[in-house]
Amino acid sequence: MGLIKYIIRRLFTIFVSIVVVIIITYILMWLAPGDFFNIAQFQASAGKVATLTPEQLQVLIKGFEEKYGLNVPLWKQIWNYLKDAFRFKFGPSFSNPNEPIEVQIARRFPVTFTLAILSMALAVLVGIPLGIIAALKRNTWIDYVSMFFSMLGSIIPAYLIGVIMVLVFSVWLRWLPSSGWESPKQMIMPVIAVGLGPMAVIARFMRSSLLDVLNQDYIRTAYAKGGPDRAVIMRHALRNSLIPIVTIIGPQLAFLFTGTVWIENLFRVPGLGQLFVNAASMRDYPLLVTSTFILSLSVMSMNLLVDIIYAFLDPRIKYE
Amino acid sequence: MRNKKGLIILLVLISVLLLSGVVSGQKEKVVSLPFWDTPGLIPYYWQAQHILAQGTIFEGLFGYAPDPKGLGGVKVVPVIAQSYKVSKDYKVWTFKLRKDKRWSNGDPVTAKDFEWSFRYYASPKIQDLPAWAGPLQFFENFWAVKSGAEDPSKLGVKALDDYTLEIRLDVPRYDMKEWLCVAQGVPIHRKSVEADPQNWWRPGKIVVNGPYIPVSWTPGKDMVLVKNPKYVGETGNVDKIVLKFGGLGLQQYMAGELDAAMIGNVAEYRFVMADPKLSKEFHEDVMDCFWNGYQWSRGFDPVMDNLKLRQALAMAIDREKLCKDVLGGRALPLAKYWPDGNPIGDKMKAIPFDVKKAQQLLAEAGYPGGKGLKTLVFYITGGGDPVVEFIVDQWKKNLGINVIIENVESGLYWNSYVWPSFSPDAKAGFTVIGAPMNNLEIGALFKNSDHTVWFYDFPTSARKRYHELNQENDAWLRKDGGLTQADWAPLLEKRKTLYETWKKIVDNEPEKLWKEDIARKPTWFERFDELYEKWKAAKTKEEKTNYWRLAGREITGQEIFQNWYLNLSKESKQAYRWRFRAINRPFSEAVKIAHYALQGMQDRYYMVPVYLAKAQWVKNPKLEGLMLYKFSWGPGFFNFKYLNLKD
Repeated sequence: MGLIKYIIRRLFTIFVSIVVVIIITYILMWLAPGDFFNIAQFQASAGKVATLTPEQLQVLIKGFEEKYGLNVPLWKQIWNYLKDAFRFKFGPSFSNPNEPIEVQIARRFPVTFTLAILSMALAVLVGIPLGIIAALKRNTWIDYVSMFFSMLGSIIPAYLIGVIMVLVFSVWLRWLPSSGWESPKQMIMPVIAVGLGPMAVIARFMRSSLLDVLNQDYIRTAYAKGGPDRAVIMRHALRNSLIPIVTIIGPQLAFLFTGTVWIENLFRVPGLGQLFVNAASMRDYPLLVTSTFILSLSVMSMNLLVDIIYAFLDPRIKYE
Repeated sequence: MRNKKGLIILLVLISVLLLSGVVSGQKEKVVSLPFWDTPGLIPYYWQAQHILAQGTIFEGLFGYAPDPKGLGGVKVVPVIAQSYKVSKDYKVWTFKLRKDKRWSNGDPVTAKDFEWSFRYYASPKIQDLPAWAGPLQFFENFWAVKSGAEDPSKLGVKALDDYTLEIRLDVPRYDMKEWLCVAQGVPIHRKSVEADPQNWWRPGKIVVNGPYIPVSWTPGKDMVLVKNPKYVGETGNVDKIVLKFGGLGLQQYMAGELDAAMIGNVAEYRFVMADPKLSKEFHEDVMDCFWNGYQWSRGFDPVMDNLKLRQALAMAIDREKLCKDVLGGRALPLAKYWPDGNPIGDKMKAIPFDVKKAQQLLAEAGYPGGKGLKTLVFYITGGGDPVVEFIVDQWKKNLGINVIIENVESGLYWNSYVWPSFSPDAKAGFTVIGAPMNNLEIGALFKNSDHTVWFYDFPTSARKRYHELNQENDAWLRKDGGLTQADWAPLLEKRKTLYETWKKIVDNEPEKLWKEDIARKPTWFERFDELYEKWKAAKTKEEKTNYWRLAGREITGQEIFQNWYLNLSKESKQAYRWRFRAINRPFSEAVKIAHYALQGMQDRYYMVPVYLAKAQWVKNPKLEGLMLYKFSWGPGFFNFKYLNLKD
């Protein structure tokens, strides 16, 4: 019961936080130099609007402002946006007037979600065992080799790993298609490129977390009770050492929902990252606000999920 | 008996194989090409789809055909138009349409399709039509229709019968054929649009009249186009085209996933040229629809009023060295708006690279050895710019001038520094500019260099006044008042004095075409007087305020014009007269005299060409008819109907 109350309270906090974030985003956009119409039209027109008379320009501005709901005061724009956003209606974007943003997101979200989940699964399935082995074989060559590779994974940018993989597996060996997101074969390289970074982080966290737990009194007590090593590690050490890992997996996953733009560009993965990054660089305001909305929602939801998982992993944690 | 049966089965199988073309080698011809990321297929938007609409999935009355000697590598040819005639004043164009053209569902393409489509695009329903990018902006009553003041039926387009279309214009346009090639000049299929206004353009639903039909695609993924079986007209032999968006083009090409790929940087270029196989598949062409260089910032610092300073800076750049050392051979030096080897460029004089002359000019400008000149600012965006660093270095080395590079956020940069009329916040200095032609039309021949006349070539004080008047003009939209005769008194007074000056301008302007343009009816004062009469007859406060505001805008509009005209340098005025002469004759004739205006504007040294980029690509040697898109979205490939894949 306590947990349900806690979740309801947190959901309310998420709602309020998102409203605040959106208001701040709108105000920042409003304060930024250059107005909506100028950005959208001047950039596209390469100076061609200069040939229009002021009256003609006014006609274009009026139509444009009406379409994007910019013909009302700022507070009303924010209100209109929030009213629709919580029903997942975001209207059209400057860069894609053909269809509403929610349709674009609905099409791209499953792609990003699949990429993020598969990459994170790879990161967890490889990173955790790697970290455990390194911790258990501390200061041996196994530890050094594991940590060397995890270090490589965290210092080499995913983009570079992607390019190297394309050269090796697509251009030279011709084993895998260089890009696209239609078949499982096309997913292999992007998933590895995205997953290596988090894998390295998880492996290093796992190692230090397990080492930390192994030095705790209760582990010594467990050993003193004469339990087999494997049972002590699996039952007592591993479970507790996973808590910090859960903490980093949540935000990492949220980041992957929007932070894979380079890999999306490289492998032609039609995901959310590309959409949202373009929104910022092209000052596509409707899309920019929506990306803030989605990103805030993802991060806050992931944090909530992590907190809930804590309760299952650590019986000492109680939510009131 | 069993042998006989077996023989019959074998014969039947061979026949089937022969008929299906497997044995005869007539397998499907498929080509995979890179394309711009396309968010939709509605042709009239200024997203990448407009390029796909121009001759690949849609067609209009006219279209582009390859012409290596033509501007932009294209020539304008009739596509759905069979013949046309134009009135003496170039305001009424009448087109006879071909009768054999079909939509992909078999419906005939008629003049009514054009009439309906143009009215639909012009209607207020399409609130965000980028009208500046298409021919509709010149149609009679377009702006009144778009604003909702007139019904779309009043637009200057009419199907006189099924195969005769009349287009009436507000102003004479000599280049309507050229304008009708662009995506806003193509018709869309009325029945399918009306049946599903939101989704008619999606593959599976879309009805097209071009040589290829999009059959599968979701944005961001590959788009598959197949040959339109109902298409009548010239096409190549390619059955299916797969368009791929983004990715590592060259690597995709090397992996056999693309039949052509653009080369994006010097490293790729060097790699291709060092590879024996790839170097044989390499092609390049100049992007002659652009010029790349710098322009003075559009601020209000009087330092830029000094012609000799502007000249000195333009002459002190070693363009050869830039192209060789910085751009790695992927560009040609360019010291005039159009390059050599084209009908406009051949008649233009280039800016010389002459350090001694530049130093002398700098001294004459009052800054010997760069002394006394304030530090100038070169605005850039997106991190480092090696071209700008080179130019700044040349100015320091050759002239002793200090220029600092300031990085500006991209939205602010394009909107507030590169393309606006004026940038009140900009310091004395420069921005880079890649000035393109959006499409083939007479105004675009000047490649935005006419901004010299519009926004640069008058003293700073007049530029500042111009900017203030622009703001005043905008402010009139929101002004309260106009309810009493007293509110009109200052306007009536200004009307009187402005009229006197206007009359003198009209009387003294030597260029007939310009004079006609200034005095075109209804003139500003006729519109003002009409608003005044309407105000007198108005019943409500809202009406009165509205007429007063509009009249106020007429006054400030005329003040802007007079401030501009009277302060414009005599050289720019002369260049502008040539511009008038060029835009008032057919395209092919305009090309012959455009250099006079361009030279005049170039010689003011506000917008300075530095280099001409090359488009470089590799392609499957069996692929022919690949057309390079050289206009403002370029480089890329388009107009796929000419593609041929050799066996």
